[in-house]
Amino acid sequence: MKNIIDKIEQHGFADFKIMEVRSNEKQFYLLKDRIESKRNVQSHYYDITVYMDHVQQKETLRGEYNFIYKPTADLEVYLAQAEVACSMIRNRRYELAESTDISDVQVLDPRLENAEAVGTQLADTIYRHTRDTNIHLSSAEKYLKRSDLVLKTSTGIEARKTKGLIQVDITLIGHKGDDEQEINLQLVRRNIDDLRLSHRIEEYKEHVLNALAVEVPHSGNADVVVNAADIYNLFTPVIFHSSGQAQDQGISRFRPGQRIVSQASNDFTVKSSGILPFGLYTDPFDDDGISGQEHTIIDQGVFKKHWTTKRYADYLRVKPTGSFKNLIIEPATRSVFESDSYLEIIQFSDLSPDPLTGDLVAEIRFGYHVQDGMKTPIKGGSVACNIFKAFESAYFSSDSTFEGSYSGPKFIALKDLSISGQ
Amino acid sequence: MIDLIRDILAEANQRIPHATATLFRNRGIEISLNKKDEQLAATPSNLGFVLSIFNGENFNEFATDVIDADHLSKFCRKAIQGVEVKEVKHTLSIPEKGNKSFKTVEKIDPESVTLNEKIETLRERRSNILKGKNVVNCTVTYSEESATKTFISQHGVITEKIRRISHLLAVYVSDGKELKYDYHSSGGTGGFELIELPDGTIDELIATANRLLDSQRIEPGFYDVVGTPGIAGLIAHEAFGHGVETDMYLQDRARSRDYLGKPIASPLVSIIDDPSLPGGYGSYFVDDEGNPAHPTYIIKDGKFIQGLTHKYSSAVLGLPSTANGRRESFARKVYTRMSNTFFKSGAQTPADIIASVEKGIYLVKGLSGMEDPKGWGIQVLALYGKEIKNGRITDKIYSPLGITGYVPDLLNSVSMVGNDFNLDVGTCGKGHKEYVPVSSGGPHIRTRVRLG
Repeated sequence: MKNIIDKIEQHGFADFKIMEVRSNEKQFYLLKDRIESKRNVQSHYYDITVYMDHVQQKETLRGEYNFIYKPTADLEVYLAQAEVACSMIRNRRYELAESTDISDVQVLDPRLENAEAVGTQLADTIYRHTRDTNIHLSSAEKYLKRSDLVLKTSTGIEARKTKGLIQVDITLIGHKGDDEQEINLQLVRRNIDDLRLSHRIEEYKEHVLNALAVEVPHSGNADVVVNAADIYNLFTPVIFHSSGQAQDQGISRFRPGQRIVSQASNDFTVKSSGILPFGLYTDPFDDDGISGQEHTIIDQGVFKKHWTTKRYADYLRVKPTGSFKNLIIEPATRSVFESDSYLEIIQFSDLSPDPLTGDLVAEIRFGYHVQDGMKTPIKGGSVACNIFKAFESAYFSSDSTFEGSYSGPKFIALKDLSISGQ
Repeated sequence: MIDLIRDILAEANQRIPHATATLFRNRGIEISLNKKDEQLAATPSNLGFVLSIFNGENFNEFATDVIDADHLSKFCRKAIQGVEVKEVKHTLSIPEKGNKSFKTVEKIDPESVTLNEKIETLRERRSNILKGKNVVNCTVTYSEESATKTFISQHGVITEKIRRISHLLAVYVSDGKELKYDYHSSGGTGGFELIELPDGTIDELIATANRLLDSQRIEPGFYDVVGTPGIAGLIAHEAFGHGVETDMYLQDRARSRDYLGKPIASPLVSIIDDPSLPGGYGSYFVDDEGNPAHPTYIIKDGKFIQGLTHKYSSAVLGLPSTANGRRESFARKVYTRMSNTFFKSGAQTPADIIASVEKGIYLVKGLSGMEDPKGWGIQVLALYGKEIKNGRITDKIYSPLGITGYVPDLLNSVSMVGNDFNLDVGTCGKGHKEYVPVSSGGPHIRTRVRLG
């Protein structure tokens, strides 16, 4: 690191930010009852951003260039490119963060020290729970990663952290006679216990057997229950519009002190949390060196403040919150969702609302039509709405859950969405 | 270093059924501008090495991005020693013998264009967009990447150098109440010539984005539709691209396996995957397992001919090799993946196809899609569609649109295929990960789908 800093300083850059990353990942691929592949991935690199100021028409502008440097490459070549690049980029000036308090947060499961053993243990659990009548394991992938990171900046920040990540991707096949259906379970967590793997597999076994008797839902309007696993994605337009960057660019639809939707059946509070234990976006400090913090972005339906990286905080002249981290939702009231007939969506094919417009169209991969307490499995067709409109009639479950990057009600029910079906 | 690795592989092959190595090296730049900010960065690095060992039963792979001769020599020998050889259950095809080298053809070498010229070209486009009616912001991006891959086996060394260019313009407009956008993307494998804009592109983007401020929600239901090449490509990709990636056959996850050699679509439908297509964003000369690229007819005249394979699926299933083994980077495993996937062109002009529709929707611009090879469902999102009434496109515009349906129904409903052809630039994931560059496209098509 010292040699890199010396060379950067020799080139006369105004500022720099270096994140050194060393990681080791074990990957396991199961194909039915056998191992298809095992992989061991080692990585060591430096993620470097250099900054250079230049004056144009009496205004001081900031140029910057970001690159990944691997120790066996020629750093001089990158720095020469960076000098040219920085001289051409015209950004408003902003400062790098000057100090950081490293947050004492949980981001590493110490059991990842022995990833091989964890992989074997997870495989045993998967095999044990997927050998069942009319069900078999199609495939499973497991990724166990440990990363050591060091941040150094020209403003004096020097901070270290070690993070772990566990990803499991399991596909189950249910069969009845010649008919087969599949269901896919994807889990990403920092802590092995948070996978709740046995419980989740059992839950999905029930779904895949039910999937053998699916119907296409009827066209029209219906109340739709969205489960915790999809709530972070559902809120991406809210996260986008609450960013300092969107405000700076003049495209944020939120104004501090104003309601995010004009009227709502149930107001809710949205927090960005960088300190949620074992949250996927929990971070002792971020790429700017901003410590892990928790901020209320929306307070009982009223927009409080934009979340801001250091750059946009400087532009907006506010204190930086760091980038948006884990999503926490706290309903103001947990009024009971009452509906005789609704669609409970277990899995969308792809739930990706347009962050800018809030428009959403998503195919139903699997779910249930619940009518008078009776559940009929459904698949196919799509749900459409505008998220901001849908939040006017949102209902929240009374029980809470943790889902990797989300903590809050176990489900959200949205009233009267458009369904395209049979 | 390459000779050293080759010698190590030759030693390994005396004990191990199959051992190969691949070295990935890329470099390039990404420029991104919006109304207020400018970003310039090197493209995400994919400098890395993979040693791939098949022990007769399964794969063991060792990947690192610490690339120097001493380290790799020790790394490979240690990895090879640790592999337990099993009874050979499957025999993988042997890489081609001899040394070969390939390179993308470029009309204008991007390295002959100065960085300043590139940035100024983008700034001029940004400036033209920001002058437009109701425009509140824009995104203008340019990416050029030179990806070099060296595939090493005891039989030879194959090197390819692919240049990929992509360019995006997005226009954001607001009337004070609503915020809408439209975009244009272009690119492929080739040179700087790929960012040339057809006349009127920016004006058309601004006009369409403004029209979207008055867009309507469509009444859910089944519609006769005409899809542009972009929409046709998304349908081909999601419906019968992912669904014939034969690693999914190994996992019992693709229903198409039961239809090999059988009619599956309208006789007007032919779908091809062709990594050797010059200029396609998903083009390559050899796949990531050293197989020479060539076109594969997936569907020909409505009949399902052949799925796509990588080495392992080809060996286990006894299917022909189609050179579709690809990995996201050195850090990820090889899967069966698409390259450039498209409908083959037909006989009718796009104008004739639109004129044939009494009441329907002209689906114009795709956003994304998702596959469901087991359930044979399909999800394609379109940014907007225009009403067709009595064979003419009207002023009525719908946005956004979700296209869903049952794949065989959709493919059997194709009733007209255009004589035009275009490929879109894209990135494809397997499920929600493993992203690789691809293209999809074809001609205009007429079919019947469920819209929401």
